[in-house]
Amino acid sequence: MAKDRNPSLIPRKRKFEVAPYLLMLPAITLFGVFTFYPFFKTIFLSLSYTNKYGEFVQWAGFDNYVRVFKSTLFPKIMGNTFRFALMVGAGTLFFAMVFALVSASRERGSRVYEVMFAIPMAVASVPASVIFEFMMKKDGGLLNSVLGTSIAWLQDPKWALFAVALVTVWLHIGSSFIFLLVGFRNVPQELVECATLDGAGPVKKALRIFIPIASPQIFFVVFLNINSSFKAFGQIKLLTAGGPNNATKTIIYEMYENAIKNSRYETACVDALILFAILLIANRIQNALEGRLVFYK
Amino acid sequence: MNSMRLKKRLSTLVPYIIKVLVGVLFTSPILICFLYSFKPNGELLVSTLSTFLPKAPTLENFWYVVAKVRMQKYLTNTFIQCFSIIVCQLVFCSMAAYAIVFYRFKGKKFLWILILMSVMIPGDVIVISNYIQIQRWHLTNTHIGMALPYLVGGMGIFLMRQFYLTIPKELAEAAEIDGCSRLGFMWRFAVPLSIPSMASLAIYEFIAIYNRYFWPLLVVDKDRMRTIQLGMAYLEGGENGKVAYILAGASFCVIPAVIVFIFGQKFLVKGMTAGAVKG
Repeated sequence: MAKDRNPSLIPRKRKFEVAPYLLMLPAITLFGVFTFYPFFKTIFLSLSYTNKYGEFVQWAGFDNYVRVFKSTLFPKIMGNTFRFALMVGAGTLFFAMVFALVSASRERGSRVYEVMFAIPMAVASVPASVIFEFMMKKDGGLLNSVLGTSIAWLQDPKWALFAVALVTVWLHIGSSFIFLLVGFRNVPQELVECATLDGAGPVKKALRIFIPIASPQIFFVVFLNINSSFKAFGQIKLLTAGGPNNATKTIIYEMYENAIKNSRYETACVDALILFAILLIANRIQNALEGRLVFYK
Repeated sequence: MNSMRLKKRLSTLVPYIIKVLVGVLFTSPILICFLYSFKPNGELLVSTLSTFLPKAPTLENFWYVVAKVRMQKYLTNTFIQCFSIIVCQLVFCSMAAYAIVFYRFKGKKFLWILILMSVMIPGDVIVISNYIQIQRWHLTNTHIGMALPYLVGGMGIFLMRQFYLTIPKELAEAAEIDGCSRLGFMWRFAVPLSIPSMASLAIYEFIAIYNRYFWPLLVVDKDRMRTIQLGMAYLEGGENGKVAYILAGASFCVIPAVIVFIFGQKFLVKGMTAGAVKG
């Protein structure tokens, strides 16, 4: 009997509590109004004709989708979107990996360069675009004078997407660096010392020890950058505005132009859902590959 | 002996200096922007590598940005946004996370799934639809309209939940026996204990709000409501377009975020990595 008085063992009859519902009310309401409702509305509007305020006018079925998929520009936009993702993903991974590998072991004063490698994280796309636009000028631009070239980085359709990707890589390296650094610093110090005693050089240590052990972080960073490259907007708007000759028009920029410049909200909604589908597929691929490529301890 | 020591010293010093130099090269866009902000416009037009440092440093560009463009007005708007969104995020995310961790109630699983699903819908997908809504409510060019869609976030709820999970349930139960209700426990123990997690969330949100561009671009078209990023873009595109002024504006725009980043990095890293990567 005495034991039964232990409160945690008595399945007390719970009286109905309002508190948890009240606690969740603001969050759920806000998600409902500003996440779920607009999502379903996007689907709804993508199937309708809208006026210039984005209000429903008439049912359209799949007309909008057919129009978007059949437009002559569509393959180009998708091509840009994926090439951009590839460039940003590969470029960011490479540089962030190099930076994180050289910073892997703590030393006195290492915070100096750690902060420097991470700092673009704090820089927004707008000032970064402004600075790079200045540096990428064709005549007398810093980039051209360093490389000894005279490329019109942002005006030449051959280079524009690469130039915008370069700026995006610079913006993304900081956060990737931090994630990778966490991974590399998880590597047990004894392991590194053993390898050093066995005569492994820095490259061998990186390939055989650091990269395999940090594989969860590397994997995460790859998809983080691919995902955020699909959402890159500010730098495209400010550096090239989708041009020259649509060379830097990605799906999110197309969505913006359709909605704001052309007031074609139904088309913008189709673009938004294409973006959603791309992100969803990327997420599925990530989940599917995770089990095979990543080794958790 | 001495030369051995010197050699050893050098073997750590040289790589260190190389790393710092790579860091300087990497951050050079920011550094160049700062340096060039002090140059008179004429000096900028002929700039090459050889003329790195300003020959005749001037504060004129900053004066222009503050006195003529009134960038501080845009900065104030951004700070109002940061403050209101961060306060709401802290309160609403803590509340929701606390309910999920410390209460058992009907429909909890369903509500949790709703939160998980909300994370699956990226903000950029619904930005147009939200804009239509804010427009219909006549909330464009208001602080409320700018803040509304961001007052709560899945990431904040996850972060707070992760912290609350580390508080032993027995502690709450013991407090209950001593006459402290579940809500009292939240207020008296859970919230004060969670201050480091809240700091992580606050700094993460600060950088996100400060650097936000797409959403304000949609809902703001009046000068008095521009955020710092909109003001910066306006400065770049407008008739004010002298390169020196633009770079001074960019410095003005970057400095607050960089300061917060450097001092808050520890918290920011914790916030970023919490729950992001398994293993």
